[in-house]
Amino acid sequence: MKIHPFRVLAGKRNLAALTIGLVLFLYIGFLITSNYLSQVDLQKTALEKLRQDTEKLAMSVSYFCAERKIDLKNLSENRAISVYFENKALGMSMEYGLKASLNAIRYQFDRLMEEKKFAGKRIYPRVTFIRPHGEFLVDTGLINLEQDQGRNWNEFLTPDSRDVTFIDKHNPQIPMMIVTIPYFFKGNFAGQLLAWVNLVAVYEHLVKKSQHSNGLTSFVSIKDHLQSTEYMRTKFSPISASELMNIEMGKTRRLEVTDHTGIKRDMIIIRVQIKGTPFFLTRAMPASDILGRRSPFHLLVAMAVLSIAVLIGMMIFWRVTTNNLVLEARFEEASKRRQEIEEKNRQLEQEINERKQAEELLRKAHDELERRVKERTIELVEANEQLKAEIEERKRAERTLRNSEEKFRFLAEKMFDIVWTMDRDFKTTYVSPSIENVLGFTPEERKRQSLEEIITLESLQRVQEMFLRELRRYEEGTVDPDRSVIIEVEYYRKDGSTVWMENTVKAIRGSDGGIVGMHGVSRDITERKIAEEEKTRLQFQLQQVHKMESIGILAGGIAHDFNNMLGIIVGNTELAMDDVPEWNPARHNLEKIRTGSMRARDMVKQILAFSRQSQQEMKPVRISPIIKESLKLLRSSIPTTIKIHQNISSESDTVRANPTQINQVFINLCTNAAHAMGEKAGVLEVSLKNIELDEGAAIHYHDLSSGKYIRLTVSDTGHGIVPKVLERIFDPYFTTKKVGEGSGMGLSVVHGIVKTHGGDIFVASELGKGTTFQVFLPCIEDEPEAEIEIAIEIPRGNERILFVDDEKAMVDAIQPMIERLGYKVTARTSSIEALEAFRANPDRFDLVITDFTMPNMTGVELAKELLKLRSNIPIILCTGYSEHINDDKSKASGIRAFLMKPVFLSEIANIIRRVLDDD
Amino acid sequence: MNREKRVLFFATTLLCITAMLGIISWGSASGEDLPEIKKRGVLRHLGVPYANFVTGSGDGMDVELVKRFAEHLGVRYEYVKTGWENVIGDLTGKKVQARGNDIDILGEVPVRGDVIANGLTKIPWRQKIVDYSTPTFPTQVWLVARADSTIEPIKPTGDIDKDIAQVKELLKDRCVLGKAKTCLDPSLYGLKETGAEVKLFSGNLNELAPAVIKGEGDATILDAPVALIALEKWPGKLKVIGPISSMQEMGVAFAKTSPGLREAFNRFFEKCKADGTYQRLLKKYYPGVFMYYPAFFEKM
Repeated sequence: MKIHPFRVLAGKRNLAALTIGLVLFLYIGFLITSNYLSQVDLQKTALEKLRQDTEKLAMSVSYFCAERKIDLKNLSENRAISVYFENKALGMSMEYGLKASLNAIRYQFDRLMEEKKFAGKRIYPRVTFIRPHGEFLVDTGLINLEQDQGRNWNEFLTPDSRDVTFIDKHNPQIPMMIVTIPYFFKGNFAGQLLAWVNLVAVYEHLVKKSQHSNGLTSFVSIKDHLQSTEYMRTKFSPISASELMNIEMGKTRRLEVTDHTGIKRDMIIIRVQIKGTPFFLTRAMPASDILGRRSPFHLLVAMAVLSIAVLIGMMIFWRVTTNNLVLEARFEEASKRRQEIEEKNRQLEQEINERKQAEELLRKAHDELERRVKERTIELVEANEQLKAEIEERKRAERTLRNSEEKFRFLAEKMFDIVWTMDRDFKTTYVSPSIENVLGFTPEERKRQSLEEIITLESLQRVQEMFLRELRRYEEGTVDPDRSVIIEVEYYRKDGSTVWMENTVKAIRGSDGGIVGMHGVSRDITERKIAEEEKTRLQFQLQQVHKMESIGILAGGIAHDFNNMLGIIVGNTELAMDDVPEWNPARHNLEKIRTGSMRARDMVKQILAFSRQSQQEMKPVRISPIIKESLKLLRSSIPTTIKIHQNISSESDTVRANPTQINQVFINLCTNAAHAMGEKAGVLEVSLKNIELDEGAAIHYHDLSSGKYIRLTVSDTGHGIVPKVLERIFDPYFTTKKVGEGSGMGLSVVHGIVKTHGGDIFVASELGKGTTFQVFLPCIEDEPEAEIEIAIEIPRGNERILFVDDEKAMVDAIQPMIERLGYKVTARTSSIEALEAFRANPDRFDLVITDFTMPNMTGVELAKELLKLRSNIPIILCTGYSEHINDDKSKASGIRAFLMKPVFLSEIANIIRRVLDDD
Repeated sequence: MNREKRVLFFATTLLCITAMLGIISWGSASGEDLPEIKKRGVLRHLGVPYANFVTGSGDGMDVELVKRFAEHLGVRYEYVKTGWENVIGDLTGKKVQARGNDIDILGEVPVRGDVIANGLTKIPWRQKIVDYSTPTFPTQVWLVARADSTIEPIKPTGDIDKDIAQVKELLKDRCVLGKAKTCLDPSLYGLKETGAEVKLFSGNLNELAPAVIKGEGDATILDAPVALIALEKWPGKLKVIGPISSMQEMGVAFAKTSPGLREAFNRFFEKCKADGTYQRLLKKYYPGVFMYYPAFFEKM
């Protein structure tokens, strides 16, 4: 019997399979047992780890709470709180000081809230101090979502404790607890400090961080106080929550608990005390997360069954597959060879086809490439030609542009005017170098400067107003958008001085038509401004001169009429005086009228002198009487609140002067002094003294030379004069008075008069104290001209006189006056009638007295006609005032004497007699 | 004759000297305006060390404010130390004596500075010789006594005039300290008329509170900001009795000849308030006052 080799092989194979199956069975049994034991150990380890983690977590929370205790203790010992109670004990009120102590406490609370943070978040969202009766002393404010309404703060007071207390404030929205400590001032309960502690950060960084899965729940709750564990109530049913609270401390326990949705869960629970606080840390998690979903024993059985099934299956499979192996091996080898030959044939055919296709594609590509190269070459030649033309054109344009730019730059940089551009924020973007010549700044310096640094404040305001005005006009569309505006601006030079410039400004517009800046040209117009100012000043002076001329003309007219009227008064007064005996009181009154009339005549003279209508005769005069007389006049014209002190003690007071002008100087100075004092009480002091200046002393008096002077001092106790005004006080038309109070000519005229008298005037003033004017006039040795002595005996006569005056009242006054002197008077009120009377019999009259201003024929014309009729007839011309006649002119017309109205008896008596006697 | 000549010579010499002195005094100008200061390149800050306005050690709220102002103008800052007696003269060039709400000008003095900034209270006589900026700080004059004094703080009535009257009633026969020629001059508040023994303090204003603690007087008058600082510095040693004046304002003072400079400062101050610079200075130097007068500052 031939033993088939495959059968031998199959017999041995069964034995081997049995052996291998046994070994495998034993090995699998060992693995399953080992796995079971490992599972049991792992569960124990997981529970132990959970306990340790929970204790660590509780320790962390405990540290956190301990720090809060320290915070509250530190806060209660803060000096700011005790200072408040000390100040309150002193009786201080909130309005006056105590509020500051309260603010200091609030500051400490704010600082605590600001400084104490955990994981980047504030620990204390609110700190308060509650008074013993439950109201707030200091409160930093409510926390979001929290309500104080209806809360009884007395519940938080712990006056019997000395330690920090924790109060659970857990709720689903705001995990919060309150730390509180009582405050004692001098041993007495003074209030309670409360600080809210935000537990969000604690949960997130301590508790939540340690969670392994979504099923784990950790929370802090107060021992035996179920109501406060609101968080637990949200997670578990009341019965389960109650069971949780009774679990022994530090032990793990497996419980079937019901959650808030009613689903039962197999849970592992552990509770740990948080040291130093009345809180527990309770953790609950699904048992399956800790211990796994199946128990170790169930796993053991399942794995044993599975191992046996796998073993049997493997043996059957091994037996069937071994028989097929040899046949499959042979068949596979034959098939493999055939496939290899067929594959090689296919590859060869494929290679031949691919090569043919490649050659065809290559030929087509070559043809296409040649065509494209030709086309591209033609295009390139054309483009090259065009490019050359463009380059040439551009070079020409650049040359033109460069020439234009050089011309512009030459113009901008060489011209004296300044060319500039600015953006809309007034920042200079370009400025021509000529700015350095005009203002001293380089263009770079100017670009760094703002507009307000380079122009004066007043100019800056005008520029801003102009800019806004123009901008408004542009926006309204009322003006040409391309118009230029001219504005004059005062610039600062680098050396600090200023310069006026005329700026022609135009807007620069952007592509959208809006204003993006300005450009302009600035021109130095300082000289023009000065010329304009000078022109304005000259125009003003010219107006003043015209005004003074008008006043002069007016004064002349007034003087004429006034003197005529005075003539009537004087004539009648003197007539009456003759009729009234000296013992009669009316005689005294008449003398007063006469004296007053004389003063009035002097005043007319002064008015004429002021308006330069009268000649200013200089002669040796004594000044003291002039000053004294003027003071008498002044007393009545200045307020009685002003006292006048006079000290006129000069020994030699003769000067060459015009008395009227001296009077004018004095009256002017005194009037100014009175104005300076106004209605207030004050003192006007006038003194007249002799001063002798030697060479050394004269130096200090500017224009005065050495010699003897008389010094007139006028001082007041008024408001004084500011230094700037003092510098210009003698300038013509310079005045500080309001319109209507003065012409601004007074002190200028005074200065002019004093200078024409060879003297000088000085002024000193102190604000609030007063002003002193000193007038120096050179003394002379000449004796003053003697006053015309009025003859005690009035000369009389009996000659025949023709008296002509167009005013009947004047005739009525003068005619009897002359007749009382013994003369025979024929009176006429018309020059024509007088001429006719004279023509009828020229020898009938020995003398003619005629008025100057008359209708139809003036006194001078009448005189000429009379002299034609009788060349030796003596004529006296009499006038109120006329600028057309004076003593010299009348004498040139053949008139013997010139008489100014008003005419006094003694005066006319003397003149008539003198003329007749000369004749 | 020789005697007469000698008298004349002396008289002339005296006249010349008087005239020269007059010319010199007329030449002294008062405070300069903005263009001159810009031209000169330096802003001179007149300061008297007082509380935290000018500490005297190189800083202070007003020192920082004027330094910023100088920087704003583009000029150098210069601190010029002066005293309460001379500070107005150093600004205006006028030696001034207060007479109630009026002033007497006694003469001319050299000008040493351009602005006064050291918690200068606006009082009527000062306003006649200087111009003030817009108000920078609130104040009120309080009566402050030693903590153990028998003077009891008043109970506020809500009516400032009644409160002042209450305080003045407490002053009879009490020694009250004040400082002449300052805003704490007892004559400004009629303290003598209350029957109080008014004592003019010779030290500086910062020493008034310690002087009361030492027992140099029963009480003193103090500016409210200074009183609040004193309460912080010497807690439990002082107590505020009540007000002596109505609410007042402080400001920066300028010569009447410097309207441009004053205008520039007012604009600068508005900017400081708008960008928060001034509030930062207040919190730095007067945190207590900032919280005490919230209405004043909110209005700013």
